[in-house]
Amino acid sequence: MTAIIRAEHVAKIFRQQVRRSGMLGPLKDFVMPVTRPVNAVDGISFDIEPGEAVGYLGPNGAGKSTMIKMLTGILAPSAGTVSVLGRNPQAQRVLNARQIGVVFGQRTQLWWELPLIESFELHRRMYRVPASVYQRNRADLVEMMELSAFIERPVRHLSLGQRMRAEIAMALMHDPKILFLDEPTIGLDVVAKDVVRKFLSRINRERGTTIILTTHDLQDIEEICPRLIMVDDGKLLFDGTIAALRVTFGARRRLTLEFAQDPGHVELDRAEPAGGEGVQRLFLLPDDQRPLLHILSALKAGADLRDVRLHEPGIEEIIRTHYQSKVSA
Amino acid sequence: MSAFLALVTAAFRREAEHRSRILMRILGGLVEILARISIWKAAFGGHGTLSGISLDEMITYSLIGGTILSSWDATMIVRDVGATIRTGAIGSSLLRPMHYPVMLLAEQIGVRLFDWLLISLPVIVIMGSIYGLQPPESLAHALLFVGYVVVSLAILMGFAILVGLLSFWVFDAHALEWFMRGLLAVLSGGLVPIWFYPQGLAEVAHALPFSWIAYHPLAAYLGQRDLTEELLILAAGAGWAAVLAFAVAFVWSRACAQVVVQGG
Repeated sequence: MTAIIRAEHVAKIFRQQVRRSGMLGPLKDFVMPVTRPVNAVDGISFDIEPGEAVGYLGPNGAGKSTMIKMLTGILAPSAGTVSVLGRNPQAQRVLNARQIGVVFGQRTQLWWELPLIESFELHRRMYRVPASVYQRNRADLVEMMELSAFIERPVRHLSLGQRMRAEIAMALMHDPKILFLDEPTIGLDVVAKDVVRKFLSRINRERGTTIILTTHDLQDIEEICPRLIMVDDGKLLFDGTIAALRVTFGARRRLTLEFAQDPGHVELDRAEPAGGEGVQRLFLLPDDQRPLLHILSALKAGADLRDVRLHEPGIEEIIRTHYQSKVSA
Repeated sequence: MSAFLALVTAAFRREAEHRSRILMRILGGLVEILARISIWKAAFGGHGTLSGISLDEMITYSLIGGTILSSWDATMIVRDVGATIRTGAIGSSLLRPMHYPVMLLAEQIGVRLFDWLLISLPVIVIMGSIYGLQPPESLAHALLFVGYVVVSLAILMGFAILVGLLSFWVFDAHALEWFMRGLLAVLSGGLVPIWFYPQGLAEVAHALPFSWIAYHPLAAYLGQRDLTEELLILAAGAGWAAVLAFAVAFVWSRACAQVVVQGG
């Protein structure tokens, strides 16, 4: 299969003006502005296949939004090339726009003063969606996102959660091949986040829509995206599955055993003791896919095991470990 | 085209949402027209005509020039475009499968139609019933006037969008807005007809497209020139509109490369 999105050695350098201090500073800034380059995106390459759901992850200022803006054609890369559906998204912005859907969590694409349904109508005309397709999509999306209760209400009266559901529904109204989401769950409460996540993974599964999602909420990625691209300081840190991430960054599952009475010395095959004393013992398990029962069978026959807890490290933990090690390095 | 009309309608309906503003703007319009008429009454000071123009004609000029053909509010485009760029909202517009200047034009036409219908018309009816509104010189002049209004709108919008797009380079849209406002107040002839201008300024005003915004349509309405001359001037105005449209397209293609979308 050929890639639906391709980024090759993409870089984006912004010029940021340096402000000089003192009374004469603003004057100097005006007469001879001094700028310094900021590498928002620094030599990133990746390919995304049709139907994939990819999480684009990184801390604030890592260059996530900048990459999305280049893929959606509203910014041009300073170096390297991006290609979306075989096109240069910036040079062919209008054509590209017809085939992608975009949701920016922090900006609205809905018409603020008008009832929600009129935003949908305007969208239909702008994207030239055939009437029958529009009727079907609108009915589906209104039902899935539960929009019917407020579809006649002006957008400015909607809550953030309602608005975000509406934004996502609108972005899908023209059957886009790719859906870009920039921080779609930002500011949403737990329930609203859950609705959005379930919906996105369903759209990806059922319609085969390719999804690219930036976030710093790791749960978004765990629930929607099998593949993860991690960036920091504009550079690519990791590209692969969540399982591979665990291996790469050395995160291991943690096993807690609780005994009825102190079992003395406990040893488990290939597991590293990680503290605990008395009736409670902790171990770090290697990522070797062995069943838990197999590991536990190494316990002494007389050990009176009361409880077993297995803790899977979330990506949050993995990434926190990674960033902490970077800071201390 | 359907998207364009949909945007025009949406902008019209959006304006209709601000009901209290409509009343205030009608009041403002009445006061402005009253001021203009008072100034002309004082200027005429009992004389029947000035440079061949009667007071009644000047009242009609003020009524139409201060409402339908006013360039004052069109400068808001510059402020809107500036704000869109400063806040980064331009990103949302760029995501849509339409060219931004075309979207701007559609929205501004919607706003303009709304203003004509709900603000200009009441002001003209109220002030016209008090001070008298002259009918067009003839049916032919009336039809020409309609053509002129279309050209006027095209030139005004073209120029406003052009200046608005300059905010991509000049981040302070406020300065651009006042530059445009001052320029149009003098050169469109909306405030004072160009036939009262000193010769030098009149020549400058005639050489630029802005006189088609208010002066030429009103001169046609009042029958200042014969029909052949009117047709030629109207065609020249359409030519200017085309030039501005090309300029907008060119500046937009440059601006696209320049776009820096602010904010995350």
